[in-house]
Amino acid sequence: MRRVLYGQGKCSSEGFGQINGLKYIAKTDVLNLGGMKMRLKGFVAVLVTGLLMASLTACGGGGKSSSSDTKSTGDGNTQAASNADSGDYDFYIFNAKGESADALQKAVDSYSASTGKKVKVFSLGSGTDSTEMLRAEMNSDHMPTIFTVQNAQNLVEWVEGGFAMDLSQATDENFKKMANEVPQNFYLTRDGSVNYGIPYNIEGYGYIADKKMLAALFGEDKVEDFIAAYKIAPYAEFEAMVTAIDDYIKNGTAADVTLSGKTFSLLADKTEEAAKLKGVFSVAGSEKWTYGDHLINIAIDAVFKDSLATANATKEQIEAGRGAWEAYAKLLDFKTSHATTPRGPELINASTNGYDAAVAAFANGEAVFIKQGNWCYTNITKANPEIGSTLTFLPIKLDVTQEDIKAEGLTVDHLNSSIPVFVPMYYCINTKAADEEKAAAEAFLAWLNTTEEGLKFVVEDMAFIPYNADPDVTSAGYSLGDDILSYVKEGQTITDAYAGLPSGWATNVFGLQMLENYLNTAEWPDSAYSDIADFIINSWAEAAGME
Amino acid sequence: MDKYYKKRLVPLVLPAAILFVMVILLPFAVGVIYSFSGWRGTYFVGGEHFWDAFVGFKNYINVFKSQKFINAFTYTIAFTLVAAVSINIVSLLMALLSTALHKGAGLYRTIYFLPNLLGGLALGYIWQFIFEIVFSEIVFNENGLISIPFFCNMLQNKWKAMFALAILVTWQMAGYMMLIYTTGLNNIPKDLSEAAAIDGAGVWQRFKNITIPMLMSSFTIVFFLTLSRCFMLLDQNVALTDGNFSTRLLATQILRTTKDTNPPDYGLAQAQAVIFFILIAVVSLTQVAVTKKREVEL
Repeated sequence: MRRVLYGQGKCSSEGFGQINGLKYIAKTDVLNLGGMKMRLKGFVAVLVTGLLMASLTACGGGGKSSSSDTKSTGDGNTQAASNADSGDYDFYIFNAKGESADALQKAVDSYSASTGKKVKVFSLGSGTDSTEMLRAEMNSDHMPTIFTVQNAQNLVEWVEGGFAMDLSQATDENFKKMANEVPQNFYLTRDGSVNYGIPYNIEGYGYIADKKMLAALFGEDKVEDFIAAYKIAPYAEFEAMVTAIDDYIKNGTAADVTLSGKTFSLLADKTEEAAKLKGVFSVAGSEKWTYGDHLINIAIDAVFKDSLATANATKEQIEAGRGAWEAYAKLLDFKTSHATTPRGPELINASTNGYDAAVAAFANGEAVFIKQGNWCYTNITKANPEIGSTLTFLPIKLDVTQEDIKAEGLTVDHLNSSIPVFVPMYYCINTKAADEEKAAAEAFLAWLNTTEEGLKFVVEDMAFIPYNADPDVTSAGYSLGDDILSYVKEGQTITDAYAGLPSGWATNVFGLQMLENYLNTAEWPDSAYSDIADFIINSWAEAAGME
Repeated sequence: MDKYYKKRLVPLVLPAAILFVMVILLPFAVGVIYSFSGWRGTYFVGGEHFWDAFVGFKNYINVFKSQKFINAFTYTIAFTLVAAVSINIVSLLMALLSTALHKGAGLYRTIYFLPNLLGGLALGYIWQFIFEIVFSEIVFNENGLISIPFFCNMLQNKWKAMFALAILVTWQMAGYMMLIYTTGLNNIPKDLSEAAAIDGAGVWQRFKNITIPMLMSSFTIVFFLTLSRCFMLLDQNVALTDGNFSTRLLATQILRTTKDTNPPDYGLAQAQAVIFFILIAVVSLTQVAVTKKREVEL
């Protein structure tokens, strides 16, 4: 009866009682609500247990909780497909590269049609971190036969757990031949000799520029000369060039730019394109990986010859790299001082200076350069389809002397006229899968990467540059891809030594330090360069457990 | 009715009980066991089974040695206190307002309840936009409507971000807590207040001496819900700052542990989760016990 009167919700109050220090006593007929009291106690008890237990299982049990039958997770981009329900397949590919999901499925369909093999393919949406999902799949009864590993640091887990197969143990003849022919600098390895992975493809990055924009600045007939002169120019000339362009954008002062002995004049009358410019560089200030991973990689390349050398770095070697670390700091300072967004709190604003915003700013002609890789080609053309065919890569330059360079056989000129070209991901074979599955998977990978039919899917549908591509013959089919091939052909490449850094350090420790203390600060103290170098040395040594 | 339930107790309870055991109790037990081992997510260090990788309390010792965990712990405590207080004040004010309304109370409650229906991540990204664009660039900056530096770039400073997160969870949870308070307020007999008014008690006296004591049971529930939810907050924290500027809450810290370590140290993460569980249990049970004592009974 009382509930009808007073209780409007299931968690109603439990009765009316004696109030401390209160002289108003309620009428006795509204007091008999013992039943409700019990109900409330039960409710609280259930809440307590439920929420508490959930706190542990929800946060802690991530690794084990996903079932093997899950076909799709993540956001709307998810590309999940399967030809076979769990168990009913000849082999199973876990593909971590969402960008190539459709194309891989297409290749698999074609392979199935010609060989009769049933293949299960699982891909996550692009940009989604798939490692948790892969771990869940590895815990299930139907483990992937082929899985993706990003680099030597991530490989540790899969070697220690006994999943990644030493490729010399392969049984398929074609696969063995292919594995033997993987160039040693593209090995997925912990010791430099045992290779665990077949590269997906190769990628590269540098300053991306639009030739049409360069034409708008220096005149159409000067573009090719400018690019050639820029590639071999030293750091000081690069700095002078950026300062001149920045002055041109902000004050309209048309000056001359000298690069490797050639002079280029900024057009006295600003063209329509040049008038739209807001800065020299488009910087994704909120994306820690752009300066935490890729920009520092140039400095790390100067000190360590490859990711293996980085992984085995000693404290002395890291300290010896001080010159390169300071050069990195100088470049970051210089670059962020000439960005479309002034350095300060706004530069690290994720809503206005994230990856998409920075790419869009470049694509829409607000900046001359953006430091990105060929993976961002589709993002650029999505924002502005007209510049797709005229994009080009220019090398990132560091202000280092030969004494600062510790990597064996590297010269300042080579470092400053090359772009990093490396393998972003590898296919690995799961040792724990059944032997027939492994053999079938090996045969497929050999087909995909060595036969004309398979490579057609790799190049045309996945838009990959094959790791085993012959730059004289292969065309990537798009501007930035072909540019990478031309750097490969000229031998003007450096590597991805940063991949050997302690796991997560580059982004989550170093990149975070830059984000929190430098990218968001307009004025850097005089000691900033040496402070950054100190931070690199100390936090790297700590992350690698050297102290 | 009672007879019906008593007779069929087992078949009625069984589905829920099985589910509870399968998805809560068993993973919980397994998790506790794994926290004593060198578990790496897909394998145990040094053997097939967890007893091969048994490390005793090593994971727990490492948790307390970890500066990140200690930071996350103090930050979580500070945030929970601020958020619990602000949610309670706001929701109680809203409840008082909605019980005082004669017209449109239903509509009003619905509107305030709506944020509660949004998921944490969605909310986090919406508020990221509000803090970064609306607050920082339009309303509170130097050239904005009113210049209040505190509300600019709130996500770029450890303590400002804590208040930003508190604003977000207040907006999200206050509507739900308001419903509990409204129910509690409606359960207070009008005659108490009327009698007090006749005796000359003012508005504040009536609120302090009648409404508050009579609401104690609602306080128990609301405090429990706000404390435990704020303590366990994850999605909003990840979406808003993702732990940048030392803003990791405990749940985020646990989630990120497997990324901080290579190979991923799930044993360590699990040990943190067990400690996390004990912490929430202690805080919540103490709070329930304390507020229960203050509940009034006639």
